[in-house]
Amino acid sequence: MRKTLSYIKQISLFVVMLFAVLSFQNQYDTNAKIKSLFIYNFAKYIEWPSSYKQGDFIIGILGDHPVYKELNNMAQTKKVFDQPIQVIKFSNVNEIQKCHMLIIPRQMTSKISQSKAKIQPYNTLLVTEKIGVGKSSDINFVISENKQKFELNQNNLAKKDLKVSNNLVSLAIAVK
Amino acid sequence: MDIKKHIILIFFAFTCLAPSFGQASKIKQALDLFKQSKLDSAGLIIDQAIENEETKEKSSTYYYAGIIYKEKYNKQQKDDKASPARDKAIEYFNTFLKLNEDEKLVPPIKKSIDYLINTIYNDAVVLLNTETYDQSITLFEKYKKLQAYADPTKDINKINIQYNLVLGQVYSDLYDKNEENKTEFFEKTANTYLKVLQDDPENWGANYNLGIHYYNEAVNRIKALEYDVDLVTLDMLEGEYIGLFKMALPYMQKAYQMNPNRKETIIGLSGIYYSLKDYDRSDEYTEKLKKLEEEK
Repeated sequence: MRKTLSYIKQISLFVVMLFAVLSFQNQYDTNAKIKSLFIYNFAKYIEWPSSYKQGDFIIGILGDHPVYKELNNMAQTKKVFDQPIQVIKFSNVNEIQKCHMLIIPRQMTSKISQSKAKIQPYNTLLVTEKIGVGKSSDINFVISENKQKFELNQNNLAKKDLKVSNNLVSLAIAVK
Repeated sequence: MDIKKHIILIFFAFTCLAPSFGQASKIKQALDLFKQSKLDSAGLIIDQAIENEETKEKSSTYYYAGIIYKEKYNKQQKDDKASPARDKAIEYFNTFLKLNEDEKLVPPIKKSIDYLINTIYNDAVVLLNTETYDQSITLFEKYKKLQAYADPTKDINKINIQYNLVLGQVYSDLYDKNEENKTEFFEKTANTYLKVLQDDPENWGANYNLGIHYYNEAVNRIKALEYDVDLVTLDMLEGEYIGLFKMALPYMQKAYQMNPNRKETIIGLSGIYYSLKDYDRSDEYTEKLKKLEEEK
């Protein structure tokens, strides 16, 4: 019987050794993926003036943003109609150049005014992500009940000659 | 137990039990074969004794049958996880205990039953992996049934919890590796950990792993999202992902309450709150993690 007990002891230890915690996929930024899908939809449902329909579709990002990596992944397989997507990171406001879309991350909100001045000559869609800046932005990411939503300022878009599809308008939170 | 001990035990038992049966030729024949280590033949003959009208009601028949089949298991079927000899030995020993009136013989037979039942448990544990988990579950269920019958007072709750914790991990591995049956293994993993928590709500491992499991499922679904998804569909799908993150949260919170100094739970909470877009709380846990790492 002693033999039997020692055999069980070994197996019990085996069980303890086998049990471990599951691995957590914390390296993956879920919100960046969701946002990149929104951005791609903005590109598809907004019409830029004809001079912007040639060459690359340029998405500029001011500073670091997890969406940069996601958009680059997307750019490898997707186009905005016939235009290949190019994602450019601007390290500071002075680097901002002509682009179709300029994304200003939450932590760069203080740079909105300066950035707006830089894109003023262009028909660049300004995308921000801070509560309360909807009026000074074109599209502003907001969160409602843990879900990603967006505010859309139709007046600002009209001033830039950017035509928005009704489909996109119907999904947006209107900014008046 | 070696064969010599068996023989001594058998003769002891035979002496004790001999007066209780008259027609014993089949049993004698089986015992002779047993002594010659002809276990297959011994088994066949003792089975005939069990079928025989005169001997099938005698406890001694089942005693010898149990011993012959136990030896057959030990000598020939130890590597057979579904050993029929082991099943028969347990069955015959149990029948012996039911019919037997001699208390002296009860303890050694109970020990033999314990031994055989424990081999079933051990086999269930050895088979508990992504390849043979089905066999393992069958054996473990058999073990629980037999153990409950052999000793209703024995608490097997702890063993059951431990087994299900590992089974949950096996299912989780299959969920990770298996693209075709992902949904099936997602459900099986979750249900297995939920079963552990039903029996032991304070189980840290089940709380943590269940939190991670729901979280990982949401992450996997988001990763798999096509770039062409339209915003109406995305809104609907995001609702599902948020639902999963919310399902993960209470289990991870519980794991954190139980052990606030474990890095995994702090990282887990930070990640879940981040995915729920509650950035302030996510940052709070990131700060806690930094502090914890500085203290170490």
